[in-house]
Amino acid sequence: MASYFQWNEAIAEYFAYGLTPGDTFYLSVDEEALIEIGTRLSQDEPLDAVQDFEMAVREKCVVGGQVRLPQTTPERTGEPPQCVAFLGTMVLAAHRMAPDDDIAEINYFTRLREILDMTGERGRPPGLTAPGAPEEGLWLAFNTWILHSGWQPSAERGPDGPMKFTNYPMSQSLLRAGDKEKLERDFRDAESDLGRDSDYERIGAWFFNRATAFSTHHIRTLAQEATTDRYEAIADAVYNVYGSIDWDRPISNGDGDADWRHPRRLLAGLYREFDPLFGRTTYHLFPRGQLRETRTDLNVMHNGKSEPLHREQDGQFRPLWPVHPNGGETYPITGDSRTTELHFPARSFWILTRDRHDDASGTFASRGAPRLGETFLLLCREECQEQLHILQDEDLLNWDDEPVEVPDYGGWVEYRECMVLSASWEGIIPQMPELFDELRPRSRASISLRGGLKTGRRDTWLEGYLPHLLVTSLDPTWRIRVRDVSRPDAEPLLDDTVTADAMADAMTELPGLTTGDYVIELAKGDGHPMDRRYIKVVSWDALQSTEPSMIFGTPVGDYTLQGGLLVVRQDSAREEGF
Amino acid sequence: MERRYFFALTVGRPQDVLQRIVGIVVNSGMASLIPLVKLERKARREFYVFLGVDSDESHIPGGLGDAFRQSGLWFDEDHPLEPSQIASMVQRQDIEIHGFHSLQYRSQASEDPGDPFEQSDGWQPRQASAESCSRFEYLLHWLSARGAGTWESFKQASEILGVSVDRQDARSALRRLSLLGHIDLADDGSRWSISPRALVRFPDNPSSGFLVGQRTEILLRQVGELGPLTQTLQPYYSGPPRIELDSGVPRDADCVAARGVVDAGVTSTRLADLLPDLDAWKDSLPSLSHVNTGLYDIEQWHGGDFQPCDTVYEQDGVYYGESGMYRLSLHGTRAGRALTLFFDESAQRWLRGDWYGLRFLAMEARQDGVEAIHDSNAGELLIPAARRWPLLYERALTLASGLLPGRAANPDWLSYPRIPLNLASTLCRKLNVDLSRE
Repeated sequence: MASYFQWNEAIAEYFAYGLTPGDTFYLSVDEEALIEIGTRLSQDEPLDAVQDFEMAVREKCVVGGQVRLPQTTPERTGEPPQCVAFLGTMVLAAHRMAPDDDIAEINYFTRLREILDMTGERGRPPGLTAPGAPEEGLWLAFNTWILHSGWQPSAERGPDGPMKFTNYPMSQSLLRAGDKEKLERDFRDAESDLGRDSDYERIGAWFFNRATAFSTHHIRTLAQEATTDRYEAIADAVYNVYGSIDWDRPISNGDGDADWRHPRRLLAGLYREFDPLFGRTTYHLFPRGQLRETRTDLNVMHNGKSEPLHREQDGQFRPLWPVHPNGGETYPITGDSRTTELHFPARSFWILTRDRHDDASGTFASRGAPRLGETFLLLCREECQEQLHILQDEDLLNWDDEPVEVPDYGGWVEYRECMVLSASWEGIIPQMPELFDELRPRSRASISLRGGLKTGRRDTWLEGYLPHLLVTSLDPTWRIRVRDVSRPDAEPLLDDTVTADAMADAMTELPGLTTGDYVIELAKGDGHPMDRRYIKVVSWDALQSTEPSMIFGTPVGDYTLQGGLLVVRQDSAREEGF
Repeated sequence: MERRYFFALTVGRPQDVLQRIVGIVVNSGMASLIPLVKLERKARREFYVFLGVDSDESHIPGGLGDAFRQSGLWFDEDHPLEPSQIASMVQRQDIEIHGFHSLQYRSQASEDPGDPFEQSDGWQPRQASAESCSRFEYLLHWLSARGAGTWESFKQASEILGVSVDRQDARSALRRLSLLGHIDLADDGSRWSISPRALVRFPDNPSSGFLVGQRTEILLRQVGELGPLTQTLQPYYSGPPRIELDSGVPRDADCVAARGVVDAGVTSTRLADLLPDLDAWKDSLPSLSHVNTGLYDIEQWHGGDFQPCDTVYEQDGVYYGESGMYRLSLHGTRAGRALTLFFDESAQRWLRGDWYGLRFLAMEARQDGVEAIHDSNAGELLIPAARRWPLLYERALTLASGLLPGRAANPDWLSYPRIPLNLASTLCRKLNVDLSRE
């Protein structure tokens, strides 16, 4: 049996694996994750991982019929805090809430008591009954460790009320036990609409646009009430279910057969390159980085050659070879036994957005749905134009100037600087449902950070060169708060309620933030959370250098001149972009 | 619940009518059911107004029909229209839309930062101060933290840090950082990467040297453990300061490497020996596979400026015209950037490269004599500013001292310090430059 400390370290390592600086950390412990972690912990002998984990936690954290909270410090320097496994237990309890359980606190603690073998009574178990939720200190220490590791936390308090502190574990468990089977049923029922190889955007749009149609309370809530910052994580989790379906086998019955965490295919979108000197546009194959769990280097086969899949510092894959936007290609992948192909879906349109981590780069690529107020580039076949013009006529969508034909790709046009203008899409009958669904906004408000001077790390700005905060909202009243993450009980550094005369976007100066970690929270006038952004401020003298993701130099004889250094040339000494 | 439109034919000023409608809808709180209004834009006396409604009610919701009638607007509630029917009444381009729950459209396209190599616009250095060097140093630290990026991101950062105020300034900053060995550029200048950290030694005193490439405060502290660092401001404060390792402290390659800095040796001399002669350099430049001259407005560099030119053209796959430097601008409103190229008539090629390099080739093609003067006493090389060398060869000069050129006593000449005669001779010979001694 693995010890509590072994589980503690293994869980932290498992969920941290593959995260790049600025990524959001989710401690999404469920049975599948525990089974996989258990496999790594006990290579030689079989392990009933879930049972082993539960016993290890009980042995460490239940003493004399009471919960004894673990330390928040690491056992040794460089290790995660000792509370990770216990917090994982709390998340597992949230995961085990039935899909139709409402979020009453008592239902949550019933599940937790089951895991801790402290059944017989209801409500908070002894040891967690002190006022102010003693387990919150563990969550705060966990979040601090995440921030110091360069990631962004996702666990947070809920609004004032009975679920204020149970929101911490609830926020980590996106899909509960039973949700995945129900979703799989929904996907199978919708096969005639979605097919078997819809891509990430299509599935995400389908999920969020039919929020009220789901039969289970939890999934409905997830689809309707997600804040903008959690859309991607939810879409990832939902797509993982879809991408893991074995259509030739009967539906999974929850016995662990399904491998929800590992879709068999990696998806690709487009990366647009525009040569301003010639006015020429090309599109490159752009693998999407949904998979963080891949432990080996991947290679993709193309024209008889094996091309490595490089991941950049910000987590995005490096674009590959030029392709036709028609799509409909699949390329074998080597290096991982479960992910075997890179699929470039056939589509009649592509929504391409700017790089949010480098908005000055000027590049557009398949990077997920645009945020409210964000302009994007729509590449589409000519037959999409009628639908687009209807949306424009109904003040739902607009773009800059006239659409531009793409000369090298007959029948395709670009609509540049598109922007969704309104949330009133219900009254419009779509002519092209897929295009309509993907353009339809998912949120009513969003936070953007514009300007300032970012470092090479995600969402990190230099002291003295902070961005402006831009709120885009379809509601006239909103509240914006800025808090120091390390001091959740302190007064917010900014707390403004804004009422606009018209739907607008409003630019706000951030207060003079010094080095540290901050969270910006946007809520509707009634307090309902809408979006959240984390921002890190660093000083110049703490600025870390970064290895360049692409290296330029000038060949000179048998050398390459890089700056002031003459480097002996290799065969492929010169890399230009990708 | 399909959107429908109730229409009315009315008179008056359209903006006044719109304001009446807006007032009624907003005050009633019905904006969620009445999301927009359309007006006939080029209205004369009478014009159509269309009220968009998202409601299952058969009439205007909220009983607002009465309110509209009282304000003089008689919407036909018996014959609601589908959205597509409006087009049969008013042309799309003649419709103005007002949304009650709409964001204001705003393009986020940024201005094209232009060709990063362009130098023909007569840019002159601005008044600068020692603080300018500090700003450059901050820019270098930022570039070091980013690692690599686009020309656009460079331009934006240089403006935020106050290094540049416009694209011309930014281009010049980009070139200077490349000359000093801090960054490298893609062939077309569209991307940059930070150069490796290195100690480049002086050709006239190889026991000491200066830092090039990536640097941050943290890196400087590490290197500072080797001994005192000396900062020298650039001429006219036109770049990040040169940081020199004190020659009094002995060090070797391993000691330097332990701090993550590669000992590059005397790069200027080595580079000068490796560089090809001018013809070979020209042959190494990337060329365009095809230039359809009919698509461009063409100008030729002549007499210090670009002049319209109609003597360069393509016919049956053959290019005709004089070898020289040309600027090509695509016809039409979506022309993109102007393209500066060197046309090599004898080789039938259009070459890309750094702007001063292409101009140098143009002077060579016209057999304009290019000269330089070596001042042995001062150890300086003087070059006419109007005959500036290609970037790669000029870098061999700047890497000899770690300093950008200043202006000589005659301001039409650039002065490069710490250039030994042999270095000057080697480079001048390769570029067919007449070198005289002073």
